[in-house]
Amino acid sequence: METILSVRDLAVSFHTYAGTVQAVRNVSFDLKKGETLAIVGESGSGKSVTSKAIMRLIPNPPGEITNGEILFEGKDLAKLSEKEMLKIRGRDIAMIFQDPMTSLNPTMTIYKQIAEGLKQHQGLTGEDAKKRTLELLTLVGIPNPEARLKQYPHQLSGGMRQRIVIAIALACNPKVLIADEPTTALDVTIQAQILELLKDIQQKTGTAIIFITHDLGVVANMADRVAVMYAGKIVEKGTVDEIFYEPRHPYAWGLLGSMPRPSDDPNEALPAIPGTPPNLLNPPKGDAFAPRNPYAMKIDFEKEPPMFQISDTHYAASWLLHPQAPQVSPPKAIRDLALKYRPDSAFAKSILKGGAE
Amino acid sequence: MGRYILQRLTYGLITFFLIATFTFFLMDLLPGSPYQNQEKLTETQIQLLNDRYGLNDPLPVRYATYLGNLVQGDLGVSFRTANRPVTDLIMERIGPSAQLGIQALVLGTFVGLLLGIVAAIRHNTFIDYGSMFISVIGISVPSFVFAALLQYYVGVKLQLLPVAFWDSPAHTILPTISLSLGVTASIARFVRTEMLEVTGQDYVTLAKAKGLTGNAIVWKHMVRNAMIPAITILGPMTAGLLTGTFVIEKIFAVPGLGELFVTSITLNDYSVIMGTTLFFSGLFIIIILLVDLLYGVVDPRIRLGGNN
Repeated sequence: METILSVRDLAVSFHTYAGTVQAVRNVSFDLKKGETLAIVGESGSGKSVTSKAIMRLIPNPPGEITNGEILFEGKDLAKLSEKEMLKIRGRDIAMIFQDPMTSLNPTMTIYKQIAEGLKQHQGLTGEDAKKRTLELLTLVGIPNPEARLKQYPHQLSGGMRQRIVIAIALACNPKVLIADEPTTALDVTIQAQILELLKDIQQKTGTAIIFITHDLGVVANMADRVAVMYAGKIVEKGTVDEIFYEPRHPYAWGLLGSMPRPSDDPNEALPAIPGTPPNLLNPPKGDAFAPRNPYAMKIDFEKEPPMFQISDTHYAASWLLHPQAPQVSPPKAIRDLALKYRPDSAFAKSILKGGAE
Repeated sequence: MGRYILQRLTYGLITFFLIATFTFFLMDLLPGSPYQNQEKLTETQIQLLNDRYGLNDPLPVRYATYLGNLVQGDLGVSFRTANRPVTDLIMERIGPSAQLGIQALVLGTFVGLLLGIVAAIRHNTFIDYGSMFISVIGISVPSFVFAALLQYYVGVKLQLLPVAFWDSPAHTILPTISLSLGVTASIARFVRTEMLEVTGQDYVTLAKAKGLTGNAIVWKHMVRNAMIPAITILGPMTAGLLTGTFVIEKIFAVPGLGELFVTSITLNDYSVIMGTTLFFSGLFIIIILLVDLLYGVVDPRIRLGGNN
């Protein structure tokens, strides 16, 4: 499939009074036409900053893209002028924000907020803009759209507002849609509806989606491919199957292991990753995850691991993948998943060889 | 909405009645008498005058008479100005005062908005510091100081504009500027703070993500939201303008209400003091109501009276 967006060695820093925070440190990934790429990671791992950097929405100062390329249709977005970016934002790349309660302008009608983008990018006004707005509202599943045009955000529920935010993002048929934790602020039933809606829209419009989330359940439901971020870096990326059933990075093990499952024994504590993420004012030498990693080796504290390729689509940055590294057995939850759902994979076989304690 | 206004007007009437009562009894405590050349009057003359104006009646009787007249819209006659009805005096003086107040309010709001917005957009630059410097001065220096400075430099030294009186539009310029500086300063500071607050809001980021230009974001998305809190201070500010006019009108010899009010106090002209006080009170009650209604117009989340 054709690559539509390619991020190469992207680095973003924030200059604060305390010093320079390296929020994103040399992140690379590709986004293909029509696919959904999920970027997962805990708070502060740099996933939102990465997505905002793609749209050049990082306020400067204090933020700054210090390195890397964001290639979109032959242009490097990292180097475009602010004026050239105006033509990309909202037209080619659009964004859905986390909190629908705050991302709509409280003093502007729904119609105006949607039609604004239409006017800006497609020159639609009057009846044309109204027709397209009604189409969009229908597309995002707003009942009785005609009546909503004149309403203000406070007259709609959270779920409805998020649908409006999605309609705004879809207004100009963007080629890339960045959804920055679009369901985090919603309750579970509404979450499911919004996820269904996004999938449905992707089928209808063929837009590529970058889905930022820390909810692995959502990832399993939505994504084609997954990139796991930790401390401003991508530590593992692969197809959704590879990440869930053949994960290689101990951080991915930790994340998956801490995901609650219906089969869990209710009397047992949910596993958690010990410690806290590193301070990115002074990123640690070596693997940033090493201090929290029960599998850490000496080299993890000394030298940063490179990206090891596991398959055509699967990469992970962990010294455990080095040919000279000792065989380790992943945590039980990970072993169970792999053996249950992918018993024939090389990963499952290596688990069996590595001994099942 | 209609019900809300009716309710507010009822409260307003009660407030008005209370003010009328308090002022009336306070007036009774004022020392001195309304007759200027009292030493030339004989005891009998004073008695006759007091009889004529009803000042010899006991206090409750006078109060009842006063209220009765007030309900009929009669504010009494002036002691000083050849028995002219107070309503006539007020009507005659209201023109210059209203013009001065409105001009100052409009000028101050406009310039203040502009300064505040520009300062916020160019946050932490020379422009920002410059406009905040202007507003600190505008807030801390009283209007009569500006008035004197303007009179001296613009009026006397440069001979550009008339120093006093109220004849032509040119005469209104200096008093308007003096009076508007405080408004400009307060509004500028307020709007700047609110604009900076709004800059960090998600909907502004969303507007940017739509591909809107900086100007469109500022004028369509930020200004209106930044103005909502600023409206809150418009009410008290208008009150400030009303009291500010007393001084400014005196300095520039503007034949306005403020001037009438101040003079009436120095002369113990009871009915004029009462009349102007009540007039200002009524005006103030109505302005506060208007500001509250304006809230609902600017901010759709506020629907007064709970009706949709």
